[in-house]
Amino acid sequence: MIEVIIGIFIVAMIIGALIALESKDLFSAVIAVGAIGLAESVCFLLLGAPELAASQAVVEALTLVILIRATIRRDLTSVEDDTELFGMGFYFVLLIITALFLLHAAPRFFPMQDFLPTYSEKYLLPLSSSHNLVDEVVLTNRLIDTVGRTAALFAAIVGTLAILRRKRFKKPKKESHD
Amino acid sequence: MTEESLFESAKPEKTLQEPGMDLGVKRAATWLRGFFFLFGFYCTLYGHRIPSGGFDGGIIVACTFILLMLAWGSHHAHMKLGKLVAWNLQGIGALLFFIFIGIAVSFFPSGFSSGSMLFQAGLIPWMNISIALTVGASLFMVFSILAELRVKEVAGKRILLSRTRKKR
Amino acid sequence: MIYSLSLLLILIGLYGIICKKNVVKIILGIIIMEYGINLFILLLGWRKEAVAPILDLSKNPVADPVPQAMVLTVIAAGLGLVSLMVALAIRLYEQYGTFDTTKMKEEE
Repeated sequence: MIEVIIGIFIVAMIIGALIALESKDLFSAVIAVGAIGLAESVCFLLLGAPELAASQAVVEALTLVILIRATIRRDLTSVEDDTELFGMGFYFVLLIITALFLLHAAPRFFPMQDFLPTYSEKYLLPLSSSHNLVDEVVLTNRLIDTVGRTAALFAAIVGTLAILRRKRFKKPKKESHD
Repeated sequence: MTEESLFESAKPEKTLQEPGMDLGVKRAATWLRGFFFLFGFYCTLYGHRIPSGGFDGGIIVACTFILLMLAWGSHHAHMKLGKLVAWNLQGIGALLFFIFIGIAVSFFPSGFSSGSMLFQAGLIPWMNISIALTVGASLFMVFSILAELRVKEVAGKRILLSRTRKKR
Repeated sequence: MIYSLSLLLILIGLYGIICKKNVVKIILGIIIMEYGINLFILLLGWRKEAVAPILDLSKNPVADPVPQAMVLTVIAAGLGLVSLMVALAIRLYEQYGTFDTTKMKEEE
């Protein structure tokens, strides 16, 4: 039953993604991506991850604000003649290769729930107590991954501030004659 | 009298433009900003009991200051949390995170005890607080830079200008 | 069935990156692809009739917390990625005056 509801939400996300990429108006494309983020937040809640649902809702609101601030100008809201032919041919070939791979691998990988082992039922549950298990895994078991991703966030934000600086780097004016 | 002079006398006088938004938005934001900041702080401190954590709390605290900036203008928001303070807080948060990692690894496994009160739960609440400092300060800084710059045509060329300071 | 739907979302995001000329549409393609990848990684840790992994771990099949821990920081890092791409788009607009990549190639 829950599978059908989640499937309906994912189909809504796919339709929203197609609308966002094919629309001629930039403003409606950005709003459609915001709607996709909201549907994804509800999907996270149905799949048993409430922390991710809250995080996704706040992040997609901030993403909407940043995108609208940077891209909407008075003279640039409409997009015309937007698709490349060479890109479409390459993408068609990529789709055919993906479809062949899925047809070959489908009897082994679907349904996936019987195929994957449960890592945490073997290793984590005997050790920990009844608390917020996700936060505990983030900060104790997968600490190295958290350090790496925090460093990536830090680097991305410092890079943003370095790109949008107003002072230009001046080359030294004297020339060296060697 | 021509038509244009009739319409000119009917226009209102030029009002002093206040930065930010309407009075209703400012009134609502005055009541809401304390609640938002308290909720973000609560989400970080109780990250080991409630489905939230350092990242969620940091983003919500950044949203509080973004609300200040949207409702009152960037000058008022920078009086509450200036640019130098935000830059230093971001660095201090990252440094504290690494210090707590070092302490926790050297006292493994008694560094991560499994209590439920704030000072019995080991080092996890401290790591949540340092992550919230880093994420919150950096997101506020990015938004303040993006809100302030825009591209303008000056003397035939396009340059990136700041709204609040004088032009070069 | 749901896994192939999320794979379709990833492929639509890939379509937005490869086949579009406007810089803002490429950014939207990257964002859609990030949403699809987060959904797929989370779906790997899901059981039927699963509950959230908090406070009561003995009754039902519990959803796997390790994929959730992986996706949590990726969502916050994706926000930094979006701000970096938007800063690059602003600089491109300042340099060339348009968001169209074919016109940027012609002007150079």
